Amino acid sequence: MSAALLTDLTIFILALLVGIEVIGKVPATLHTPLMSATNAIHGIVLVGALLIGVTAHNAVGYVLAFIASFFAGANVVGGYTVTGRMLKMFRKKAPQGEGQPELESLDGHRGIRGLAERIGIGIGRTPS
Amino acid sequence: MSVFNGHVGFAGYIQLVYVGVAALFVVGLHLMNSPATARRGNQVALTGMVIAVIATLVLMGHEGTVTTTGWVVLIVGSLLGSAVGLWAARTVQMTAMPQLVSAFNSVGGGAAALVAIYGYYDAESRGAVLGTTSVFTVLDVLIGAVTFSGSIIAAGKPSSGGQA
Repeated sequence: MSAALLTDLTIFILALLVGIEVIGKVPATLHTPLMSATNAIHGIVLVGALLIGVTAHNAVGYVLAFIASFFAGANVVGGYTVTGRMLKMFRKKAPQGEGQPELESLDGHRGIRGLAERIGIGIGRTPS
Repeated sequence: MSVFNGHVGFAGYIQLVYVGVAALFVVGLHLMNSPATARRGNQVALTGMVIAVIATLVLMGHEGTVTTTGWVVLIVGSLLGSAVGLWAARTVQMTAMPQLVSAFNSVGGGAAALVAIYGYYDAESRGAVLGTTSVFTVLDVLIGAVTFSGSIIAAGKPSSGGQA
């Protein structure tokens, strides 16, 4: 086992734990935008696609670089735009009800629950 | 990782930037814990992405091995893809958004598979294929390809009006 492999394995395991920790607390109402946001972050593969260019010197390399950068570009830009649109919709919906203060309150749980009630989604188990 | 052949130097600094970007992604996702901060979370993650791309372009310029054709191919490819993604994300009906996200996920997986295929192709042409390289390539291409095809199917499924 090489040192590089060991390092990558370490990063992988720690990243798994960070993922569980960060994602596990997200309330049900935010699951769809979260899915979209994590998908947008996957667009980091654009970096990999760009780096093809460093060693690509023939047709095979250029074709793969073109398709990969095209796909990754669509993933990044589309992903963030669509997530932004989803969250914007979230925001617009809130003030229609009883007003924004509850949502804006720093007490996250009350805000989430209030929003969930407003749009008619019951949160089964809110982590607390 | 082929760019970082052991010697750290300039690529090491870029790697440091990538670590910062990873932190921005985690912070961004963390901000999505609450509806009040979710939009900022998306912006933080987007900032990370912009920094990562700029750092990569700087690294490519520093390496100086990208051919003119390479630059053209990559820039045209990225911009075309971005334009298509932007157009799709702006014009899609709210009800069709899950399908669109699935489609973006699909092309992202496809890109990952292609990057892995190129990585193997490049290593092979330099005679640098190790045992582990093959294993990782197979896994990478498999996962990427499954994401690509699976998400395309998923994108077509829940639609009430035919898309994809």
